[in-house]
Amino acid sequence: MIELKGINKKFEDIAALTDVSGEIREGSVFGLIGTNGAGKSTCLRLISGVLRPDTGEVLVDGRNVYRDEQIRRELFFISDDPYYFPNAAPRDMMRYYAAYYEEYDRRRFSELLEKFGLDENRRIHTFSKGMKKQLFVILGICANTKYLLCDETFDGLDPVMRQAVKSIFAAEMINRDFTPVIASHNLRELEDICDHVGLLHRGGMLLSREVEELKSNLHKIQCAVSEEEKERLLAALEVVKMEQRGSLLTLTVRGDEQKIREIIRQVQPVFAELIPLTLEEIFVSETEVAGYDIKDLLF
Amino acid sequence: MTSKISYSKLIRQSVRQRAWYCACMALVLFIFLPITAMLRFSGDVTALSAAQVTDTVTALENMKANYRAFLAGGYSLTALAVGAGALLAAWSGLSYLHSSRKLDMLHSLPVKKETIFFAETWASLLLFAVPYAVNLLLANIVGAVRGIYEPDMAGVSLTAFAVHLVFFLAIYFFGAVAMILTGKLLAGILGSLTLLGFLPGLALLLQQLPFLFFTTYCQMPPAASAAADIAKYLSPAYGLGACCARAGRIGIGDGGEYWNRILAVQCREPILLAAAAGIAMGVLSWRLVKIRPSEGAGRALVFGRTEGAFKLALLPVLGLFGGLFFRGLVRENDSQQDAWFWFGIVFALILFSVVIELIYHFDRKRLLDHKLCTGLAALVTVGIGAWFQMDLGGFGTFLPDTSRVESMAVSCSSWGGLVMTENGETPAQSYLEEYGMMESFDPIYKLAQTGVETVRTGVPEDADTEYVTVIYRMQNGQTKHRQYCLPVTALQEAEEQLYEQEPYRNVIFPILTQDLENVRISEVYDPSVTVDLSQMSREECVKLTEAYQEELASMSYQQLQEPVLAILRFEDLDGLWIGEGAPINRFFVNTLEVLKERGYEPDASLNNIRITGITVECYRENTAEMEAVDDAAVFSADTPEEIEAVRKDLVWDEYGWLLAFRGQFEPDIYAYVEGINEQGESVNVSCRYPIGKIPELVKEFYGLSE
Repeated sequence: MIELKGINKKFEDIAALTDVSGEIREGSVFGLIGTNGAGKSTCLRLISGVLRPDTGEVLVDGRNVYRDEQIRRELFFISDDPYYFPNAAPRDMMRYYAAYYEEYDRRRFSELLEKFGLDENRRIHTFSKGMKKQLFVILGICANTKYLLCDETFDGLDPVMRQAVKSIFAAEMINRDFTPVIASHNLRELEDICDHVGLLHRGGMLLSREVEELKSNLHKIQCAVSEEEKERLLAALEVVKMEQRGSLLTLTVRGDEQKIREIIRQVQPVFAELIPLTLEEIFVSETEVAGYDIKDLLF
Repeated sequence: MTSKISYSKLIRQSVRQRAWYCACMALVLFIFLPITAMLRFSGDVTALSAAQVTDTVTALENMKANYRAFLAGGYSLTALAVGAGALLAAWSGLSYLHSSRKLDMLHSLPVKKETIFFAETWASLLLFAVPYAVNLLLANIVGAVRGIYEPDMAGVSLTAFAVHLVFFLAIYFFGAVAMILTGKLLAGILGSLTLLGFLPGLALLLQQLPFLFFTTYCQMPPAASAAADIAKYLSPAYGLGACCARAGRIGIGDGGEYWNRILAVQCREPILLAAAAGIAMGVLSWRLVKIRPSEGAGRALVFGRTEGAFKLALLPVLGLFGGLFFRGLVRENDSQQDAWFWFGIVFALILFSVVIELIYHFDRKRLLDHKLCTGLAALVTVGIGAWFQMDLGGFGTFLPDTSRVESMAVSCSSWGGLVMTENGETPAQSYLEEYGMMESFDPIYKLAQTGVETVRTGVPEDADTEYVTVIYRMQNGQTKHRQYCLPVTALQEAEEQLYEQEPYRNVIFPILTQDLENVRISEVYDPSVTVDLSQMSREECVKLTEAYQEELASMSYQQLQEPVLAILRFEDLDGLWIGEGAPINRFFVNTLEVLKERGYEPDASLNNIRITGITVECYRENTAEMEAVDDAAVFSADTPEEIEAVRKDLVWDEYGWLLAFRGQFEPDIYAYVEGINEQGESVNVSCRYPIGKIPELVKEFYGLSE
């Protein structure tokens, strides 16, 4: 488990993270989301031991990741702009990493490269941006570390590749103790990969929840009811957000789906429909509840 | 555990990534070692052929000595390659500290930061040492193939290799500290050069300021060379240069004890200090790399607090150098020199303050940052500048009360190398302090008073002057040196009184203080002949020296002013001159007797010379002629008539430094006589004309009769 305990980090006079605490449990795909400048990269650098927190500490499996370099064997960090040696080919980078990660799986590296259609002898600088990202995901997976930290790694991957990576993650999670942590500003790209998300905003962690929990507990209803029934309906539901256009009422409500359906049925609306919420909508709602107007901030 | 495995792997990875550095060093050292060895050998052979040298054994020995000096690192470009290679290794090997992309990768790996740093250091050492060793071996092979190789040369090469590695590491760690403290390559490069050059620069500044501003400041040797002497102890780069120069010089005609001699003479301290500085910087690097934040990459200085400190340290030095630079652009003694000095200070302070901020932030809105440090630096600069330029400490007018002075010594600039004891390398002051301190110092104190007066009022423009060094030994044990420009008349007045005191005679005649057993006599000479006395037996030598010492010690001031008949040249057992030359006049009866026993009778007249030409130079009208005497402007007597007319009153000019002689000869007119002596040898004699005895021909030539 990765634990962030009261992390503060400043760069000169700019506070990048302010009192961030949270946990990343094993066995889930953790999505770290937030706007540009929210502190996602800083957070991942802190978790990977690159940066030292000004105050607080980052523990990986109970050990301080900055001070204890041995625990970093359990981590592989793919930065948003990963470095590769000039004129290096994928195989050179694999050899380099294999020198530090004793469990490095060279055979799987070759298999995955083949699967992704990447030539292990071709110079990396001739790769496209997407190909480089694929390469570093493969390099990271083959390090066989417990945690794989990906900073904006999925941004720019085409849907097919994203799906392929997702399936590799799934396979790794089945086969071994593997926890990917993916930072991105793009909720839509994370929606189908992550099963746990944390939202960073202005250097602070707004929330950290299971995606399923978020989805099962929050619902969107569109209905047309009379004014009398509307009052009854609003009183019966735990409304998070309400919009009305003419007689069409759009509600975001918290609660069990069956119970919500029963309440709607009781007020006998002219028209009623439960619409699935996207992750983005869930976050907009949740953050608004938390007092943040992030509509304009999230894409 | 990963440590050991990863460490060697890290080195291997670094070596693999920096193969280009190894290739560059291999190429450079290939040119500077085996290729240069071949070229030098060819050059030596060509020179010998051209000179038609017949003594091939000596020529071969000289070539071997040259080659030995070359292998020992006496070739300046090899030293340059070591220094530049070390800096390049630091800059390239630690450039990862300036890239957040690289740091993201390296610092997230399961290894300590300091392990990465030391792996890079080892890799740098390997990448330099391997091509160096290979090329040094090739250079040795060149010598062996050419037949100028000696068995000791392998040891010389290995020692040079080891010494160069010490300097390499020392310079490398200076560069490393700079790279760790900075987050941009340009800042790292400038920082490395600053760390290596700051203390020598400061030393130069502290030597130059009093030298330029204090009129009574006395310094031997000159400021620049004194600073260079100190610099080799303050920076490994300068130490490397000094050792290289020394190795190159000492190689001539030496054998297996080569390095022992080098170390004994001048290189031991720079090498030891470089090693100590290298260790200190290595430890500092290790500590700094541990605490260096990764986010420092991209900033000029990683630790923000050091920005002000560096600026505060650099600005005064740069400001004062700026002042000296502008002052130096103005002609010597120009009244505007001081104004330009202050302009230079202000200009340099503003310029470098802005440049430093630009390097720090590269943001025009922040060009005026660190106001407090800048203000402090400006205050310090102005304070130091004023201290020297306005002589706020009263250095020039220093004249302690006689009750505070224990003893004093004096030395006159016209004595030249009279009191130099070690081949010109020991300043006169050392000798004066040991042998010349007088407890009855009234005449010297009066000279000092006159000197201080001339500082305040200036020396009369038409006065004949001399520079005089005065040493005060204070009651509290301190020693103060001052140099005054005094009228010769004042000095002449003091000379007779001073001569009565033994310490003064010891100063002007260093032979008086020498132990008889440590003295050799190399020669005795007069205008027409030089007799070699180096083959004298020990007994004869002691006898002659003893006779001379006794007679010289009892010589009165008036007797000393008698015309000189001959000069004896004394040496110590290492062959270094003891004083300039010891005069013999007619009162040295016993000395002349001993010389006569050896078959030598001096003759100071020019009668024994068949004169073939006399050249008379005149520097009287304007001093510019002294700097550019060309043949057309010099009087030359070539015909017998002219020679006869010009030689008539000529007096041998040897030993004219005694102040009593001043005024006896025509000033600024010097004659040089060329001829053949009775043995058929060519002789050149330097002569002067007594007052009022300038020949008409010379007067006419120089227009002196008008």
